[in-house]
Amino acid sequence: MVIDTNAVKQARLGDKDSFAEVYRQISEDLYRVALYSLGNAHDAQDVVSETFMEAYKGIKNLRDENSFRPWIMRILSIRCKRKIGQYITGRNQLDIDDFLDLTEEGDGLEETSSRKLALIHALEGLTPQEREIVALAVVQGYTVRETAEILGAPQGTVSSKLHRTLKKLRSQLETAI
Amino acid sequence: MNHQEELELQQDLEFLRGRFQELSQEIKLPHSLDPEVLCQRLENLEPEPEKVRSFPKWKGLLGVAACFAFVLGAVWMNGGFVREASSGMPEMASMNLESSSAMAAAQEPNMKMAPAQTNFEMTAEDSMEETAEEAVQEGEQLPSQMDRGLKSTQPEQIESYEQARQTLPYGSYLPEESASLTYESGYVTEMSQSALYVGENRELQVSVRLYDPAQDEPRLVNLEKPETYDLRLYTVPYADSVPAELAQVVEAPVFQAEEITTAVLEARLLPSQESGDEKTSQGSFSVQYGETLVDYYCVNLSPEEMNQIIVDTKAAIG
Repeated sequence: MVIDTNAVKQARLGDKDSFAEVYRQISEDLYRVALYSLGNAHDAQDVVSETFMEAYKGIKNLRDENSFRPWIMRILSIRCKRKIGQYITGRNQLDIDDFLDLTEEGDGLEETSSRKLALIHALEGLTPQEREIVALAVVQGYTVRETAEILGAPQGTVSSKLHRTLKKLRSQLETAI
Repeated sequence: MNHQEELELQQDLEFLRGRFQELSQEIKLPHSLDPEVLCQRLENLEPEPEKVRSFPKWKGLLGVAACFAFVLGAVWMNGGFVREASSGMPEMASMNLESSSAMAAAQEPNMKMAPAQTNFEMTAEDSMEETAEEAVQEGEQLPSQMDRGLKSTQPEQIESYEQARQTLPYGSYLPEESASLTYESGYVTEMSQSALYVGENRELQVSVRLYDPAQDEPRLVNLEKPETYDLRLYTVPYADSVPAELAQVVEAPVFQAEEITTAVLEARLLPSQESGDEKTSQGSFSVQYGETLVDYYCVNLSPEEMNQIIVDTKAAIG
């Protein structure tokens, strides 16, 4: 969803409603990135709500309204990193219930669900850091340069990590098939 | 990355985007993250005012000192202020212009000092001491005096390594940059400071704050009991192998700075579960330096390197 820069402008002036509107436009993206990175809804909710508060408090320091999206993603990324740092070495399990509603029934749902499950299991083979890169570059469609800026990492590092991670993901998915 | 690899990357991206799109459709924003719900938390909260780069007093004094030195120097060069008053005036005018630029440079934190100031540069220690005094005079409290309950947690980004290291009171706890690990970004609040260092497939996150006995004491490690910190004693998933009563300390152990050795760090920095060409390791732990606690999270740093960082930190804080 495109961010309304006028609303960002108003939010910078302290308008709570405008901030809420801007957040509404990006909330699902934030949650998705957090969920893929952290693997469970509980922690994802924590970091998104912390990001929301931090962004609101710091919105006046945002210099360019057009940069709102990468700016808030960067805040989210830092919060995710902190959360990941608190895990015991490499939390790789994903809470499947937070990704899928397995109670649904219907034609073809079984096949779809098994495809989705295969993807979730493939994601479990990645570290949280790798999943964060995937969430930004694959799910959200950021370029390598944008992903690197959000993660605060060198472009070359992100590029090689992304390349390696996608190879790994793809081979795991193909094995599962 | 060569052309072939770029092509492969694009193919992988296209293949996976479709799969992820399917899965992402199921992910719904939880009610707790609805804008209406979160906005209730904004009551009585206003955005922090825009951060204005502060202009430390010592820099102003430095500028004044530079002006004064120029005047004295000019007088000396010209053989006396009175004798050369008339011919000296144009030179003084140009000097004042030069000095203004120097002061402007001093006001811009990211700019290097103008040549006029180089004779008056303070050593890092001098400048830190002076700023510390100013901080106390201006009511900014040192770590042991901080009122943790009332301080704001508004983060302020610190863009440069130099600025991060000079930030009081925690900058000196940050590691020095090295050829393989450079400062990437950081934040400071009145309660803590954090920094991210990155290198080729390496990463070090550092977060510094005041040691909080209520929160941190239960995580203090007894080195005579390796079961409180040595991850090699457990199997993955740790949730199944670490006894519940030790989960807190094993997950986030706090070591005393003087107790840390390479051998201790070997128990924390383990190869990750990642299957790939490159051997990677990662780990997290905290170190107590007196009243200050530093959390470390590192990827691909050896125990020896991490130990050296801690040794250097101990030396830096005296």
